[in-house]
Amino acid sequence: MKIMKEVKSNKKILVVEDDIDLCEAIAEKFKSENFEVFEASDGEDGLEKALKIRPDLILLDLIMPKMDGTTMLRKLREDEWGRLVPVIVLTNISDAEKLAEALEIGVDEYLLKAEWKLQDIVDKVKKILGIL
Amino acid sequence: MKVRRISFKTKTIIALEILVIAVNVWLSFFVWSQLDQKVREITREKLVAIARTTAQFIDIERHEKIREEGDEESKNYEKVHEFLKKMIKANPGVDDIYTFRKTDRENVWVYVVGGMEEIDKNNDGVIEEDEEPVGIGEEVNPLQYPPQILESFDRPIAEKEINCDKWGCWLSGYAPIYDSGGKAVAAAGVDISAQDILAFEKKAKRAILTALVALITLLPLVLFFILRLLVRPVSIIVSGLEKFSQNLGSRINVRSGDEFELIAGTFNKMAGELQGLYQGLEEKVKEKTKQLAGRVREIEQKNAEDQALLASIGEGMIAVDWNGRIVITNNQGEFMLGQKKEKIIGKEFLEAIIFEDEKGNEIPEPKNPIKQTLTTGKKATSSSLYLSDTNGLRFPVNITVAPVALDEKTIGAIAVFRDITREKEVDRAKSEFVSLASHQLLTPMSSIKWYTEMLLEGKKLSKKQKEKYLGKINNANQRMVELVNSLLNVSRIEMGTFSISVKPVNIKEIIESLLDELQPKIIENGIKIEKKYEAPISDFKADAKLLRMIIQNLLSNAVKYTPAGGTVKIALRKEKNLIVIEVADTGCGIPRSEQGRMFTKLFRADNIKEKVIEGTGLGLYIVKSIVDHSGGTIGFSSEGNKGTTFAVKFPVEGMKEKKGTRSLS
Repeated sequence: MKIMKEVKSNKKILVVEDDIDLCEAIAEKFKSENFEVFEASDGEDGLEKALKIRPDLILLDLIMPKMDGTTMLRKLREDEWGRLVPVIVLTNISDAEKLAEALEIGVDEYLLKAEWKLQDIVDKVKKILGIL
Repeated sequence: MKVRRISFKTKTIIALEILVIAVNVWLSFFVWSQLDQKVREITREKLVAIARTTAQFIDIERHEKIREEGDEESKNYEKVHEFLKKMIKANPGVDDIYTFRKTDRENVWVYVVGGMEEIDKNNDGVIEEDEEPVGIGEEVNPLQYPPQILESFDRPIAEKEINCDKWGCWLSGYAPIYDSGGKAVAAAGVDISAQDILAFEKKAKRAILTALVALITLLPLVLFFILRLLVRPVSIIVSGLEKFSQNLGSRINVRSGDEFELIAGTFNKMAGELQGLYQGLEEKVKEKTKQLAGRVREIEQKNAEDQALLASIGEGMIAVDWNGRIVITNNQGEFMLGQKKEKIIGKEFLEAIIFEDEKGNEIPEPKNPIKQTLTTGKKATSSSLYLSDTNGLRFPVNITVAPVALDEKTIGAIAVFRDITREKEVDRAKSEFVSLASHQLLTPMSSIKWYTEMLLEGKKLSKKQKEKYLGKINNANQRMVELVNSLLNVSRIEMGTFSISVKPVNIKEIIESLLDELQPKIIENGIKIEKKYEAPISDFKADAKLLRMIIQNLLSNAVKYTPAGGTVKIALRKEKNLIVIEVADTGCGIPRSEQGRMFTKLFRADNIKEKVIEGTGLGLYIVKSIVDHSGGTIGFSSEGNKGTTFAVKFPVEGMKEKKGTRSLS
């Protein structure tokens, strides 16, 4: 009998964040956790990549140039696949209204960048994806 | 109390007249009843007088010689007869005068001489017996006559009643005839016919009655006039009183010398005092009225002022009564509510004014601040209500409602409201600014947090990686410091507290110094620098620090936003009476749509946000504020992807000084 080792295919993460430093930090962290990381620095780019790559989870910033996070999310959710993909909003804004808007459209979680450690974000992602 | 209006005069006169008339009437009756008797008395007296006269002057000697029939022919008889005839003639009205004597037979007397002639009374040509005069010795029975005849020998006396004998009806008077010895030897008789008597008495009565009637008529009349005169003072007094009620100056003039004059006098004195008092009072009233008028004018003026004030205040105002009916509103209120005063006044406020919330829904009654004040008697405010104006545009209002109380009861409310659209915008801008600023601070903070986390984890990091991470932390920190400083500067600019102190500076030196500072960045970005100093002004009056900030910002922007290989041109020149500092780059330019907001707080155009992370969006805002406050101008021209040129211009005289509490950092 051939014992098949379950090959864990790496989970794909899409990080949509306009601040390069922050984007890099997230990317490096998740890479070190064996995630395949894709990056986008605005909503337009992010939407395109999301629909193309179809990541397992999207980390989404709200304040971005060209197209902001909320708009991208709305468009994403119009897509058949996009409707279901887990999205975590990573943001620094404390504007309840903007947050509420995004939450209405449908996100799995929102985290404040300044409050959450990278490790905690990783754990959260793993939890949502059901990994370990 | 009804007063029977019959004057005193009339009363008095009527009473007295009645009295007088009554007395007159009684008098008349009395007189009437006595009249007959009196008149008779007169007649009798007359008779007696004639009889006495006859008795006195008759020739008694001759008379006594006439004794028997036949003696008529004697001289004695002729003489006595003559005498008697004369007596008759001398007394018209007397019908007969005769004499008679007693005989020794009882109650048989005899006539002696008669004065009457024989008269054919009935004109029949024959002398009847009764037409014959009385003859001597003709017997007469005294008892057949009124009793008075019996005394005829004693004293003069007249009959009381008319009596009739064979000769007719008579009234007789008698008187005794005395002889020389004083003895009554005969009596004289005087007869007046009843007719004559009656006629005479009638005449007499008539005369008396006429007098009586005249008296009765005249007396009341005279009395009337006398009374009127006496009572006149009463009329004078009455009319005087009436006149007085019209004119306080009139007085009563009565000079009757009696109590009425006293009354009038007293009254006049009183009137004088009253008049004086009244005049004094009138003056006081005039004075007070003037004062009152003055006061009323004051109040009216104040009222008018208040009205004008009310009408003109810039906030809308309405007042409602305890029923919630709108009592007054001012012009601004009219305008803001979009309804004419006349339409609103009297209407219930819940109907007339519709308050909406942010979403455009009408607020429920309990949330209506006017309703709240009316119910609770306490002040109510709200800044989250909206009204619609005449054009249907919604605008936010700040409304304050205060209760109007009287004796601890709420009798109404006054609401004052104003359009706070501007304020809300400012609030929104402020909170946006705060969000944005905090977001801008949080981003580098997150950066520091995560890179520090990764460094502290320590697992498998290469030296290069560690250096990179530390570099990122350092940059992030720097960004935060810059942002905080910029925010502080902005705050100082907003408060107007920053100072500008000028002294002569060398602009070229400043520019050179800045270029030195920026050298690393210039080299890093591969930028070429071109300088053109046409006016190397060395004593430009300026605040060195602020000028440096301006130029530093422009230069660092130019370098930051120009891609590698680009050029940055710096020019310093003079235009008429202006100093111009120009910084031109060949960078990514500013899109047309973004150009309007270049100098606003925290603004960074979309096209550079992704290319260049660093940037607070505050630099140009600060630069413009400094330039504006120091008397200069700043402008730019730009084309997307071609480049941008900024130019700052100052008057040759230099920057404007400004006093302040702080300087910008």
